[in-house]
Amino acid sequence: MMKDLYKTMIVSTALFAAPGMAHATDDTVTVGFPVALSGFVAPYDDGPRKAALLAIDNINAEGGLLGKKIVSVEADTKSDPGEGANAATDVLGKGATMVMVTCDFDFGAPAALVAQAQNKIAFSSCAADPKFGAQGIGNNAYTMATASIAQGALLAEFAYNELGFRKAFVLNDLQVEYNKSLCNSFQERFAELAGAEGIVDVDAYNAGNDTSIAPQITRIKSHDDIDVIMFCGAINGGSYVRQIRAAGIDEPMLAGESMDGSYWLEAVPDLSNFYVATYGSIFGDDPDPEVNAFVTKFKEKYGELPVTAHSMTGYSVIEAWAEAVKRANSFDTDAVRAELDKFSDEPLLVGETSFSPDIHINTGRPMTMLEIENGKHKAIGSFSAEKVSDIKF
Amino acid sequence: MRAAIPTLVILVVMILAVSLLGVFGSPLLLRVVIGAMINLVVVIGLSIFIGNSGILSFGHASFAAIGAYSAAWFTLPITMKKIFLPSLPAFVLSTQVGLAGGAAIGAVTAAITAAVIGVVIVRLSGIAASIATLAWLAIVHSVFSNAEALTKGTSSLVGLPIETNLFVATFAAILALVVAFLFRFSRYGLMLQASREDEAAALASGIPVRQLRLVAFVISAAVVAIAGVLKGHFLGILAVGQFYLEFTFLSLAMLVLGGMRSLSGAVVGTFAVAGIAEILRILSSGFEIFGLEVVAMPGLREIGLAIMMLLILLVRPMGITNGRELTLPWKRKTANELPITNDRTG
Repeated sequence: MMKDLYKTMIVSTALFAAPGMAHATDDTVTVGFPVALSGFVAPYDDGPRKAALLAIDNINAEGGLLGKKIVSVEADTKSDPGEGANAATDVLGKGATMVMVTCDFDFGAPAALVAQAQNKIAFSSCAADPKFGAQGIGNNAYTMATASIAQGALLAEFAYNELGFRKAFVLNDLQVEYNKSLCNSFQERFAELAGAEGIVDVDAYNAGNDTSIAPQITRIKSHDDIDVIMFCGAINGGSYVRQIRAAGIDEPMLAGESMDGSYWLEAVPDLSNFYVATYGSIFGDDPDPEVNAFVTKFKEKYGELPVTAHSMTGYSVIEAWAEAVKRANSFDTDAVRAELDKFSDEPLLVGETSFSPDIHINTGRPMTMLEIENGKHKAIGSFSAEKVSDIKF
Repeated sequence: MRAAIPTLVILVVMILAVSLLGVFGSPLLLRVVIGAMINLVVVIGLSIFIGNSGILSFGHASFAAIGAYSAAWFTLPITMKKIFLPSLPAFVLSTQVGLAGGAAIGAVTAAITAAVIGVVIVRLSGIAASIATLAWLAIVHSVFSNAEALTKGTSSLVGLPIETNLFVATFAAILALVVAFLFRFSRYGLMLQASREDEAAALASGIPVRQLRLVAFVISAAVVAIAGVLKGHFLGILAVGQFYLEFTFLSLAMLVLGGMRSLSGAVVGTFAVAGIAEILRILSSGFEIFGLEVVAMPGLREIGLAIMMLLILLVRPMGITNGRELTLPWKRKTANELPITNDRTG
């Protein structure tokens, strides 16, 4: 037995030692994707990754970047923070000049930290936490997301100004940081506009533990003066919306980007009176023709519509980086970073994008508001928040 | 204890050999090896309690969390602490220590906590004790997920200096091994193992079973806490979710796979799982065989690992080491003369 054990050790040692490194040649430049290809984060990374590959195709079709063809390498983070760091090491070892990491702070940060340590640019597709930048990770970390505080303020202004609502009930899901930040910023801005009495009541659940939200529904029903329900749900959101509607609560509901897409609508057939803030409409009716063109191209390449508009962030990651490379006329990280930090209202697919040496996330960007009526999405315009609270880390 | 010295030597050599892979391998392999060393510290820590007392613990991830966060409060650079955790007590905010200091703080905090909660747990036996540890884990997880001022709750804590390198991780693994070895072959360790085999007989022989279990519980909590500290300073980021069910079951699986009853089992199990996982990871990204292209199969590692574990346990229900210690071939006879009784735990 002992002999077998030693034998196994030697064999596995030999297997380990076999290196399989493919380095970029002179006429190519490599972009690394240490993202979740398996595990529960994978659906969130799938769209941005596919859209980024689409952007790479477009650039290559036009002759590449600074005369070089862009090639991509992928490594699976397995939806695990530790594996994320390994995946980043893997793609950087394969010569990646820049990496695009997971659409979430907790799962993207370990990979970005590895890139930061090797002085390589790390873009998160849609981590909405402002820590994903110079303060939390380092000067090479950027995120293409619109900060959650901006989304909350935007929804509050939309509800107050556009829809004329004065009394809001806030329902928060405490499982994810994004939700908390969204609801807090909504509450803050709505109370500024409608006065403190504008927030009728606040309740919360945790999608990690609570499959039923009956107590919260009872609380909503105990108020008869609610104009609108601010719903900060994400995971299993469809199930909670169904519970609310099934209880006979037909008041309008507002939600952030986490409720984008139509995949969850099966849970709530014929849903009406539901508003979602998103990066763009994936239903072909966005006010911005560029977005509609993107959706068409995406469908051509992959045979299906993007599941959510988050995919646009992946496209813009490549857009932004390529633009900075062009301006710097170099792939050198320091030069590219200097150009990125000069971005001021750059017209990217996700919207006008600005960065500064201190702030690597956007707060002032407009978002498309979608209305769901009888289970169908309709874009009702592009809105941006007038006043966004200061970034808190 | 002297008779067991060859075991210690073999295990140390094994750890150093794996460590050498990291020295000469690619940067990725280096990371994998460091990760395996940190896991090894966890599994050795677990085996100090589980291996000697025979009580399964599902709660040790809590000590990794307590260790990791209490160390981070002190190792985070002062400027970052003021941004991310401004409501920490003033003396914590104004102090910064290195990784070694952090590890000491983490281990002591976890040990004190374990000494308190352990009093309750060691009064129970068998499955009741195991469930109590699981309940404890759930409590710590909930508290940490909501203690925004201390942990940033569901958000993650970044900015930890990345100081866990191969040397530090290997040193910690060997240190953990030596601690576990000294305890296991001390008279207290042997008494505790006696209680594992037959609690009633042990009590009748005057062995203070509860006290010894508590001692093992505290030592193992401190060792697991050091692993938590290393993990945080390896990734540079802490999230409460890192120390919950997945952490618990993966480390238990390593221990069970290697063989719960021996220290060698902890080492062999950890390295076996790490090795299989890494090979499957390489395979899962696609490869070519005889001109035939095998496409990437994300998720192969998880399924493959589960199947391998199942197969190994089918063939060797007591784990790869069969619950024995590794020893020199010519000494094997004497070292393994002790009969292995029917085991209730594994």
